[in-house]
Amino acid sequence: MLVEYVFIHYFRSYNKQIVINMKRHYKSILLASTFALSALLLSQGIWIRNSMVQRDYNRDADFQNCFNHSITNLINELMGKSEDNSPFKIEPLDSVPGNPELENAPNVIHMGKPTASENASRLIEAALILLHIEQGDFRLTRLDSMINICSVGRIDKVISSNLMLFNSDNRMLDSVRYESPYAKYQLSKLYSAERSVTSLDKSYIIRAEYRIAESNDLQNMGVATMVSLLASIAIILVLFYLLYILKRRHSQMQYMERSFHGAIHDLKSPLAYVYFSISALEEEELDMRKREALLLTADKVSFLTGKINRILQSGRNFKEIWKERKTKFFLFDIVEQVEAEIQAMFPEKEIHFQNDFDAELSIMAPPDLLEAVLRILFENAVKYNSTQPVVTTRSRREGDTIIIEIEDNGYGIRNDKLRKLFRPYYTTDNKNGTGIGLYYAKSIINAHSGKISVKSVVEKGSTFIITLPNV
Amino acid sequence: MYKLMNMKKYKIKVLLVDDDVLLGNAITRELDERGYEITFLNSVYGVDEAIHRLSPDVLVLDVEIGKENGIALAYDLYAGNPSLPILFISSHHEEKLKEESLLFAGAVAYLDKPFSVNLLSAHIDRFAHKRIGISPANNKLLQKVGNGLLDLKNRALLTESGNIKELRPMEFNILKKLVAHFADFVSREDILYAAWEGQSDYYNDQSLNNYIRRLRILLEENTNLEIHTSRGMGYKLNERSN
Repeated sequence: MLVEYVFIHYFRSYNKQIVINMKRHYKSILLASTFALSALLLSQGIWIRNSMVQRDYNRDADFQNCFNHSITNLINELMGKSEDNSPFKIEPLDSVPGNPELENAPNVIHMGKPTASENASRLIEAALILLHIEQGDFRLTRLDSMINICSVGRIDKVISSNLMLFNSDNRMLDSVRYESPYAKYQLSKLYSAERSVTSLDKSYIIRAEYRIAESNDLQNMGVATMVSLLASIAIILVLFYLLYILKRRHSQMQYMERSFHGAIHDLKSPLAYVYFSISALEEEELDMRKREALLLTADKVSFLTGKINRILQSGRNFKEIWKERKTKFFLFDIVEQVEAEIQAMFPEKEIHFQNDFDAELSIMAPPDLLEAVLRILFENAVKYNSTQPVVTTRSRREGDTIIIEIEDNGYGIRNDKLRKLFRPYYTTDNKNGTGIGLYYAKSIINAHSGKISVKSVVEKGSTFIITLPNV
Repeated sequence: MYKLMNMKKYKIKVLLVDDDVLLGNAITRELDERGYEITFLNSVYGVDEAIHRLSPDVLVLDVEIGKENGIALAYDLYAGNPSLPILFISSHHEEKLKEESLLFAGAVAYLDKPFSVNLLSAHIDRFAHKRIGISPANNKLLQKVGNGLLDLKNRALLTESGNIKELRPMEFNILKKLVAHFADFVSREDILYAAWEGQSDYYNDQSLNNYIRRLRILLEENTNLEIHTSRGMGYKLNERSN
């Protein structure tokens, strides 16, 4: 009976509790991991975007440099055919467009306003460009190959190019075009640069529009990010699926609980019928002994119903049960009953129960809970004992408290084990003990602010002492 | 006298609604034998109509009839027949449900299953008499016990607060004996004789002690009486001196 009570209480309420807790914890884990993954992806995305902006800017600057250098190199070449024996050399002007998005970009050199000498060299360069254009030997094809050399060296593959020369009327004088056959299959970006040269009466514009293939590293990074995004989504989906399973398990548990309740509840109807019929029979019976027997039978039926009700309510905590089911009863009645049950449990033992207390001593408590505690203590007293156990129960009222002492002449408990005795799942007897009984007893007593303690002498026996507020 | 005669002829009309057919039939049979006019319905359909047709003195209603909620039903019935006493019977032992049924549905009492014939008829009698207008003073079957009443017909103790406590036959016999000799000592032999109705072969001292103890608790919790024990003199019932 103890096993049933303990089992049902622990198994049902425990399992339910575990599933509910798991569900709650699981939800927060799910939310946290979803949050962490999206934060990670977001920061990665921001970083990649920033890198791309930075790279685009750098490439733009590179292309401008390449363009300017190529023009300068072409002029140098035209004047001396080689850089070494030219009469003078023009240093290329770095013109870098400003980018409001990247104010402090480290890779960008701001030239600021050209100084006087730079201004002069620029004027000279412009004049030379003008001169060569006028002479007709400012070859766009040469310029194109120069741009190609420097841009392929510093940037990537050129997919298409369009180099044009305009006059002041915006009329195209010359142009060089190139289109790669693989243009369509490449991720590319259009770069453009222009240089205008003006003299008093003439002005020309050299414009370059180059489409250059993008390098793959950042794209790869982007792809990696996409992959991790997908992976994250997959993980989150799996987590949600698990949550769903957990939820279903929870509702299954609830369903099982309900059908369990229903099945147990159904046991009560026939019992109500039996009880009612016995009461009617008893009423008609004249033989007093038979009447008493019928009453006893009715008592047993009522006891069964009570048991069923306790099973149905076993998921509830002890504090509530104390509050609701507390009634006044004689300790003697319960002790006597439990003693009879224990004797029946150990037919091979010759148990001697001594009840050293007033039979009129009454207690305020839920009878079934106190019964459970006594059963646990009596059972231990007899189980861990010789074949002739002597179990003495003493009880007295001290003001508003009831003290119950249960002494046995059993094996006793070693001092170092006494402290752990009331812990859950602690047992000195791994074969027959579950380690739940005393913990259960303690929980019941503690629920009513009572105390349970133990004194023990090895080979002499133990005494369990319950102190219970009798209110 | 007229009233008493009237009461004897008058059959208390009971309407029982319970989906447990087995129990319902048993109740019907027993109450019928005891002189009640009882009608048993095993579903909620037609309850209202039955009330109007039969105008019962007491409605005995199962709280959970099939899928219907007896309390909700009772609320409607109560609204339609505010003077009809409703006695709930239920195998649900939840306090909340009881409070709800008593507070919101105007039920007059709540009886837990399983219950005995006596306890049921004691409840029915009490509320039917109240409704018919028979006062306890005019009822020969009720005997004053301190501030409570002893229901001689149904072997029950009616407390001042309106609770009805069932007594075992021996307890009832002992109490009756003690009441008859109120404030006087009754010898243990006389008590034994009364308890076992003179069947001396079955006298049992241990059982007698148990019955006396039970009675003590019952009286202490429900009345202003107490049982006094005196060695050699026997037992005495008297008012508690606080």
